Amino acid sequence: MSKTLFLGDEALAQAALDAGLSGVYAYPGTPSTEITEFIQNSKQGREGQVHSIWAGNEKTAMESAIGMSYAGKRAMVCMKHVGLNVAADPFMNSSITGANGGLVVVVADDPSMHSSQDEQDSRYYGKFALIPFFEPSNQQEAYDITYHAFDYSEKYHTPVLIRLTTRLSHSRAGVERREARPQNELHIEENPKQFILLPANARVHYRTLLGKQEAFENESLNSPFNKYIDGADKKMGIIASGIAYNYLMENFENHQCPYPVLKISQYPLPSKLIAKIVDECETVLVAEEGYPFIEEQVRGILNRTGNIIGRLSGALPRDGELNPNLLAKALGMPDTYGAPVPELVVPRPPALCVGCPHIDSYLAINEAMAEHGKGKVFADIGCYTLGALPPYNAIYTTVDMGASITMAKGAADAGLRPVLAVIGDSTFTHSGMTSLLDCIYENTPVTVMILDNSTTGMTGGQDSHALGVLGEICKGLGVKEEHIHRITPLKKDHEANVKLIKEELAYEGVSVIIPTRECIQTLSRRMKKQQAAKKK
Amino acid sequence: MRYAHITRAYSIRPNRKGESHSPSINQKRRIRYAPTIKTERAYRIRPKRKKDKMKIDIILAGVGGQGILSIATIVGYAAVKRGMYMKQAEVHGMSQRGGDVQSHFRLSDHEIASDLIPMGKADMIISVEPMESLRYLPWLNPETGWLITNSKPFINIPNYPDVDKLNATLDGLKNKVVIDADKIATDLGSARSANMVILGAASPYLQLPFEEIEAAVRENFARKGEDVVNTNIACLRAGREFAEKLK
Repeated sequence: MSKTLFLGDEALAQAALDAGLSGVYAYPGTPSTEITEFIQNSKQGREGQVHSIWAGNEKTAMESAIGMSYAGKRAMVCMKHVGLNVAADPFMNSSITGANGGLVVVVADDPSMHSSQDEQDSRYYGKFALIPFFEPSNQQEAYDITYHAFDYSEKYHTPVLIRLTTRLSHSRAGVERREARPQNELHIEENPKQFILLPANARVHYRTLLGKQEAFENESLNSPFNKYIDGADKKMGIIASGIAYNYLMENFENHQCPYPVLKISQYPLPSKLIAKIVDECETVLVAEEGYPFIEEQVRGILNRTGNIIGRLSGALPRDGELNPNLLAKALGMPDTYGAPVPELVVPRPPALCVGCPHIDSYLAINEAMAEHGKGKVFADIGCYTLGALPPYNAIYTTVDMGASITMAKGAADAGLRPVLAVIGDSTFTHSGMTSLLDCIYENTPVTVMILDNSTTGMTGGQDSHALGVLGEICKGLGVKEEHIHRITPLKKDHEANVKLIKEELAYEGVSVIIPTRECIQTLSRRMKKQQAAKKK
Repeated sequence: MRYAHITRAYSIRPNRKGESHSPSINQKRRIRYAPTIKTERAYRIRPKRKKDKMKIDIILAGVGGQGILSIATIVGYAAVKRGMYMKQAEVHGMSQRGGDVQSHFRLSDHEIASDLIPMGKADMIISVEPMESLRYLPWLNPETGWLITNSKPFINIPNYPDVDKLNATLDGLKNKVVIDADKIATDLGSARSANMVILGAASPYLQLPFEEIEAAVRENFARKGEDVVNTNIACLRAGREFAEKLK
């Protein structure tokens, strides 16, 4: 079969389709977004009527996927690493219910935080939930592992986690596909107690899960994705997981490493193979993308032997992505480096697009807040987070999806006046609605600005669940109608907008202002499409 | 949050500032376990055989929205058609919004291990913006690497460097092609095809037959009609001609 060029994300998506996927559930988040988009745009997906519409957030996505698995079909749920925090409740409990139809959870981590607020390592969640998990090292493995993961999930009635990292998600290479398998027939879970996690049932299921651990480890031991590659020089051994394996091999001609290498792409860790490399080699370097997950387990917190090196020992940096140069350095090989960056080169940070509606919103906010001093605007996750940068310097917090409103509430509870929360339309439906309900319940004096650009802008313009109904949602939650306003963030409306914000800031209760104007990116795409259609 | 990787890249250089990565006493104690002698031997058995192994490692650079990826699409098409291996690491998400963007683009007739090009090993930097071309010098092979860049600055930041100083810095480089691609493309009737002028200027150093690059350009623009194809081919040729004259 010939090879197709796929991003890591796309290879994984194609594999899921070929493995008989019936539905993907996801909320967009870099670097995981392209998985779901690929399925949405795939002819194979459309013909198979594979569900691929975006979910409201990662938790609802996870729950829908568990439901599809309960009904006997193969389901996948995709998110970025911090999304798993949102989905953690159903995720953890899905390991207790187990799976009926194949259930695969895909999490894309973002070490070095290219587009994220932390670099948490999802492998801890896999271990936490006591389920098998995978970490592909290249695009072909992303395909093969995903194809295999559904079978694995059904064989052991367990959800399976696949962990990607940014560089694999967003790097393209040739991938060989396998034969597509049909989707499962509908078949409800036969054990009526399986998905009822009453304590009495859950205790039984939990023991079943614990009982499977040995089998999981055996699978890892015999997995084609874990490889022990012997080397003549036993002065050093290397345990390399996921994409770190590539960075290691890059340093050797024809990818022949003189030292024994244990490549890990499937967990739980195969302890026999770990024992073999530790016993055979004088020093063992652990190279892994993310946290020192393997290193810490192998050396133990006491580090008695002292011969396990990696991110904890300082042989590799404790944070950030790995690369071939860092591996070369850790191996004691000569480092290579080009010319230094000339001093005149200055950073070019990302910025709000020219014509972005958020610019007008922030100019109005800054003017309305000027008399109240700094530190009273709480923001959220999205394009509008760029309002933290010059020339706006308009916001003071960005923590997690939905935190703007509830953090503003907490500050108001503490006595801060006035407080303003800034949140996007998609982020509001993701996690802001319950925050707003908290404020309404206590009639907290907060002014919430929901910047409605009618899309999920930062991740490339996915549909927003609240399109056209934001006002109704706020009214339904209980915001008083006279304190819900839609405004247009345009220069010509600036004075009126400032005046309105000032009025609502003075109100001792919950008010919502919704500046509404379409994202300039989706608008220009739409115009181009319209023009092209006209030409035809 | 965006610049974490670049800061880290600097810190790989030993003792650049001294402080950033100086290990603690505890770390120093542990580091002595890292073997060095054997690995150096392992490195020495690796001969440099450039001729019998073909590889092209390119850093593509520009500003979000300038379309650096179409260069990769075209060269990738030509290379994959020859049966070469390809890996291309792209930047998505937050940094796309008018910030600096780069793509690690690797071609080889052998399987490629890393998605990222090691520092100091890139054969080329192809940039559609002059300051951005300089940002990736640490990746460029200091002896044999070529820098091909547009001379037309894209100024969307208040502290963009003095253009004369920028040009002087570019002038000081050993192997470079600096070309006003915007002007050439505009003269040929399509300001948007500046990236094809850049590709043309890079083509003499690409180790791929020019006809195959031309064919890939045709293929890439075919669905946009004959006029678009011809303009882009003209831009490609103009860029190549410019670079050939410098040789």
